[in-house]
Amino acid sequence: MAEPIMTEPEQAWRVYGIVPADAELADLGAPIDSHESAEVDQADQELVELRERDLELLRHGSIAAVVEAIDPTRPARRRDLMAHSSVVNALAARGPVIPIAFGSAFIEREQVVDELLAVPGTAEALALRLEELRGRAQFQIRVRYLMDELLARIVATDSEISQLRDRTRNLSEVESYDARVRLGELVSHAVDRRLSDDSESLLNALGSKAEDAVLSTRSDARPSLGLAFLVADHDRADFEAIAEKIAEELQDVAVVELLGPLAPFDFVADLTR
Amino acid sequence: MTVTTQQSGRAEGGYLQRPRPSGLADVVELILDKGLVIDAYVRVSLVGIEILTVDLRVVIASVDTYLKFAEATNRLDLYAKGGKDLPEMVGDMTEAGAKGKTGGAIEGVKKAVTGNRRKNNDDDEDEQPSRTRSRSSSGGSSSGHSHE
Repeated sequence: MAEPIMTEPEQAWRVYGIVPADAELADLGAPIDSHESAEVDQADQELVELRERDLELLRHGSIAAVVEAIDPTRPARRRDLMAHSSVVNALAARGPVIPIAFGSAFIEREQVVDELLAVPGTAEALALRLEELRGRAQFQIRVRYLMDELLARIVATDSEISQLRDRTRNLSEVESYDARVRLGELVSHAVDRRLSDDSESLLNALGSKAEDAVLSTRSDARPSLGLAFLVADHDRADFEAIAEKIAEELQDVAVVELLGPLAPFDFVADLTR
Repeated sequence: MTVTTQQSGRAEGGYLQRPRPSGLADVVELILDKGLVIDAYVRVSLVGIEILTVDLRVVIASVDTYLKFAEATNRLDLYAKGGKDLPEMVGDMTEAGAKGKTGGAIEGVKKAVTGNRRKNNDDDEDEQPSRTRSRSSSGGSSSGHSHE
């Protein structure tokens, strides 16, 4: 190559994930036999979209990158983000995968190998992590609190809050401003404590059947928690049983959802050089 | 990893819900800014999607937060919660009313994400989304999460 030419590249290679070199892309669009009837429509649609994608496997040694040619001048769209999710999750359903952060691409096809797969140190770390991820999947627990139920419990168990509430309820907004700010502050702290307590106890309880666990999202204003777990296939049933028990325990105050199996997006960040 | 081991996973009638991640809000929550970051040559321009995440991370000023919590707390009808004296419907309506009030800024953000998605099912339209457009779509009427 001569001197660098600063023109807009016409093509770039988006990287979806790293998989073992013996992975197959051919069946990526094929249905997985456990799809349940209610989900078939949507699943079918995703599979059709997967089949239409032009995915390629670039191999080096024992690992490979799943890539696709893209037009780098076109801004990424919602559809691209959704596709990143369905491609990586489809790969994860078939074997271990290291999900690559959405939005990464190389200009040259060769760079994917030269600057990612074949980099000394990185190559070994990726291969090792893939082996560690084999037979494991990410599960996501989402706890969405029912605001009124949560607040009712806080009022019922905190006398200062319940007194302030009684005092401010029937005053005008102007008269009660300071007291309302104080009330809100106390309630806000109580919500914060509740979420911290629940987060800790869920990470402990579910973490006992997981190899790794992390709090991935949390909102106090719209009280909710998102917890990610890396679960081995042989622990999955036990993990699900604990999740069911937690959902039952929290039923009066929150809706608990379990998503997965998913690609381990929350458990690969430490692999950066 | 085998996927066929899902057998009894989605228990019918259990307390645990097993939705399939589907909407944009789910995918933003589950994968955006996650995964292995590589030193790639191009960070693909993410105009439209960055706006969504910036909005998702809106931090509302603490006094506003406090006042919203206070308002939500004051609006609670603790007697209706017992479900003894009043018909259940009244409780339901109170709950819906209070929820509508407490959502505040975050509610608007959710709508910016989910409402926008509902608007353009054909996502060709969001090729060049603008901040204004993403904001202006927050006037939708429904609240709550996007999946069933």
